[in-house]
Amino acid sequence: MSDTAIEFSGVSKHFGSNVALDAVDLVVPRGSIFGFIGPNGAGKTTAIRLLFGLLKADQGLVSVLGNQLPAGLPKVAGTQIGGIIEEPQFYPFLSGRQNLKAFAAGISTRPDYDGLLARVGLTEAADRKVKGYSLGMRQRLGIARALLGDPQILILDEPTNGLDPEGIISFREMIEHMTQHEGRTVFVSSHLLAELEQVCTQVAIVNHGKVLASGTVAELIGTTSQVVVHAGIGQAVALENAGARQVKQQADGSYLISLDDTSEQTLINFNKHLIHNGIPVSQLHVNTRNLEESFLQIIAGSES
Amino acid sequence: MMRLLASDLQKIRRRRGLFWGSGIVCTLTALVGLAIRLLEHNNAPWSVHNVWGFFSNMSLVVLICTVIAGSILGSWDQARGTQRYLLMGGATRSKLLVAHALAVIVYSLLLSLWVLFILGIIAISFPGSGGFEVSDSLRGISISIISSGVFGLLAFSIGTFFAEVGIAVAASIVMIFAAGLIQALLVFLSTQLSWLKGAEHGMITDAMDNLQRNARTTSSAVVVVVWLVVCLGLAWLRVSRRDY
Repeated sequence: MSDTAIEFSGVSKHFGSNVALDAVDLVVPRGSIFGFIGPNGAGKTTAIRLLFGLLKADQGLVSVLGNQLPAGLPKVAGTQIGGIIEEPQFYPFLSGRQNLKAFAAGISTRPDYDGLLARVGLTEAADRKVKGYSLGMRQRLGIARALLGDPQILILDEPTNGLDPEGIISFREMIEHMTQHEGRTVFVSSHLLAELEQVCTQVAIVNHGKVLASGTVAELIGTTSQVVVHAGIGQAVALENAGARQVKQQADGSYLISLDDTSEQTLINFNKHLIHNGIPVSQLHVNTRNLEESFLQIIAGSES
Repeated sequence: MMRLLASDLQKIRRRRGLFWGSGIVCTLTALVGLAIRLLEHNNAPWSVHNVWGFFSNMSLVVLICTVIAGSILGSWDQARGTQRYLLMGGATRSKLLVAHALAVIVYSLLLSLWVLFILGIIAISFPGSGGFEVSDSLRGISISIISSGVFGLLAFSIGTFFAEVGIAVAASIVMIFAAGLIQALLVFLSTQLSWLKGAEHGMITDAMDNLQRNARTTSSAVVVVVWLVVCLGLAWLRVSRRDY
């Protein structure tokens, strides 16, 4: 069995003169939680629509569990791959349970509707009409719909839209459970980068239809040469004399500096040097970046 | 396919306005129409033939309800974004289209049968004498039912081209009635322009009228089939090529 759940190979898609995807190469390992991030209009939803055969690629190959799309779509749609794309849409005049039955009409298996509704916390609202559901409830019903065919791959486009903080936490726990205990692969696109950073094993950053970077979250955040020094006021020149570059004073009075590297030994030596020269250091630590900062830096780099 | 059809029928049944609304409208129209006839005929004894004949008049109401249902079924999933989730669930575009079209036919048939049932009860309640020609009545009823189904399917095809359900319903009703106006215009123009002579026979409204009157049956049936094939073919092209 292949270790690859999803593969894009040189995939391009144009809408008129607008390039939505430009020779995209992407490999999503089986069993991973793969974050797909990018600004609005970056091409995320286009890539996801290709995975469901809702669009046809102009060039390149898209495959799901080794089945090339769209030819292999009948083998995977519903039973191997399920998901949410943009806002979850339902029949407002049907109840939550009736909606699940309506969308399961094309699936060969008979889903456990009660089990799915219980899983997303909608048991009590199961027989209420969806037109009375909040956005958060519809998102949860959307996840239940995505699981109708018990798919191995779950594609979630902005799944936390409309969820309250408690809902976001339970959503995070749910997708972690799906990958760790059920062996599913989750491909998730979201603007909540802090959430993705906590939950994703791999991430790809996309902009203007191109994949700018991909890898583990740690790889994307990468190492930084920036160090934060708390050393009192008016020490910029002294820090430069100690070998610091690009010295900037921050709003809290600390200094953000660059060193040649941020290894433990370099920091010890630098600290010794400052103390030896009478600079009162109260704190000195590597300026750790988060996914959001890395994302903004990569996007800014692609725009310049 | 059967599950998709059952699901579509369930969606029609759960739309209260459409399901109960059309049933109530048809029932009330039948009762009011027959009451007016009763008054017009000065309480004369009913003829069964009159009651069944009244179904032809009633069929316009059934036809309008079917046109509304057809255009809703044709446009809803595309306009409201549910089509992509049906496709993501494993249903193919052609199966969805066929299931929707069959649902329109079943709805039209059930509504016609309901009206016949109401009229049947009235006929039994007011037994008349003579004048009932089974073959003529059955033919008229059959053509009325087929007419509703045909126009429902045309409205369904029209509906697939609209991204807004309300506009699809309005456009379907307008286009179905516009067909009658175009037919009248063609008849008028053919008196002025000889090369237009007989052009009105190509209109589906004229073909259905002819079938109702048992005239030009073969050519009229061909015209109806051609209209259906072209319109459903265009709907299939629209649905199969559209991005969701």
